[in-house]
Amino acid sequence: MNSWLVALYTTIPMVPSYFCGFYLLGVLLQYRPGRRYRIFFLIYCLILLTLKPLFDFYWQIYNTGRLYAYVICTFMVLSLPLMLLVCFQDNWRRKLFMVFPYICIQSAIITPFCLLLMSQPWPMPLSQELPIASIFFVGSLLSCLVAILLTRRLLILVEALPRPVYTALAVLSPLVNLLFNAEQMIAMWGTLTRLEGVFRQVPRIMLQGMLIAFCFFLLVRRDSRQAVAIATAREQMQQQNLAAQQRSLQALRTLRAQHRQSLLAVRALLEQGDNAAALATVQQLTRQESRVVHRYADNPVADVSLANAARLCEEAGVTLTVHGTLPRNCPLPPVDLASILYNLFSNGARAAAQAPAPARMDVDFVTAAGCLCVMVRNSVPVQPVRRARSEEHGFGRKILREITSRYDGSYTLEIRDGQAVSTVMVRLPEPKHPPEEDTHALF
Amino acid sequence: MHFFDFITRVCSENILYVGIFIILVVFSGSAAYWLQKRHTTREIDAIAMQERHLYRALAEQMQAAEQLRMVNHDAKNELFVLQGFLERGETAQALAYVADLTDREPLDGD
Repeated sequence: MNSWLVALYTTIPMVPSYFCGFYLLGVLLQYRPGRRYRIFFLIYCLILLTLKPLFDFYWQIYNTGRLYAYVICTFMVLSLPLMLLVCFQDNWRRKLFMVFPYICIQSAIITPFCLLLMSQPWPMPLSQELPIASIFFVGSLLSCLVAILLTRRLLILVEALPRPVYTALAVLSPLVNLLFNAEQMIAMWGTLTRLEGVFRQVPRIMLQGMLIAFCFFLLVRRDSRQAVAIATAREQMQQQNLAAQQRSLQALRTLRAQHRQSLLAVRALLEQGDNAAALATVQQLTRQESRVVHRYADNPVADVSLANAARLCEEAGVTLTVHGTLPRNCPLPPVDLASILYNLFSNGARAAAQAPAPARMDVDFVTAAGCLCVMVRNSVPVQPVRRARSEEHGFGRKILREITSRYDGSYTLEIRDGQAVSTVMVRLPEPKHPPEEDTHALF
Repeated sequence: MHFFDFITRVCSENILYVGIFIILVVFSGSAAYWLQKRHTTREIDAIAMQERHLYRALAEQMQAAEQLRMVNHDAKNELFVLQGFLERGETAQALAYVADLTDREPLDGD
């Protein structure tokens, strides 16, 4: 009994250090509503992280009783994921995934402090123990801080991965943590002292930390490449818009030149006195004039986007119909409006091109109550055709979701009975009025 | 196992080595992360600048297209007016009208 009391007196100054290493894991998550979850997790951490250092120090001091330390360690590894699932309200994948990276990073950084702690001649008087406990506490806080920062960033990167991959990583994380701990316990079983066992674990812990760091950089690189690819896709979209506009401009210039030639021809006929021929020519021209370059909308941005969609539909034999109109002075920034319309129309036109004939694409513009709604209804193939994956695959819908969320709006896609309905709704920003001239001022 | 034994011996000789190693790893990792982020930011900024140039060019083209559309809209009316003159037998007026139209200065950018 005395030996346990000695171990307990040695443990008590160390409890805060052990406690914050576990409890601060909750900083990355949100507690469920109600105080009882917070208190429950607090009590769990307090009990567990009083028993763990107690058994560890008992083993350290008397070089016996390692089984107790193993049992409590196993209990910690198994119970932590369950406690996270019970006490915190975040997505379960987030809660489970962060277990291994956080523990791994924190273990790697706190290792030298642990070695410092274990290389001391325990038990020692309180006056000698307190400075060591303080250093260990600082080390614990530092390791938690670094682990929280890195795990937070890692979570953002991992949550951007495809859902099945994220789910698999979330399921594997606590299992890998259990496996590593089991391997450590087996490796330490044959050692003479606890200090010797921990020394043997140092290379493994370092390796784990470097593995996590390597995975982190892979994800950072992937995230960077995606961001660059999205920016490149937007730039290409602008280039295509510019090319479409240049084609329209060229067509208009050609029409103007043709019109001038026609007038010269009519003038020549009138000067020759051939009035009948002149009238016939003009009548022919006025009938032909109905086939000039079509204007699709009052708003110039919508006009360019629809002209491009019309070209895609014409090439694919799809019938395009436009209902409603977009106000000429739409307060939505032209870059965002062009991005929304281009992605909506090109997705709809491409899907309709693969649908069985007669394929249609209908575009509706509605502006009401400070909101703009653009709906595209298009035919879709019965069996979805898998496009070859390219670097730009999937960015159109991603861009639509990102832009609509910025304007407090939404993007939905519904496919039913061979028809797809894509709806974008955005709240129009307040139009910027030019400052009114002060007509009452004298100067 | 020789490598692990070597590392264990080094660690047992001086805990400071372990601490220094960890500090170096954390520092190197932070530097690598910062460099990667800076590289990506620069790349995206360059693309965004290019996008702004393209949008400016697009805005100019759209303005020119608007002007041409207005002219072409007038062109339709011009033909209808001319047709009206000829159908009413106002040949002299039609000739004067079409001469006026063809003697007009061409639109800038044509």
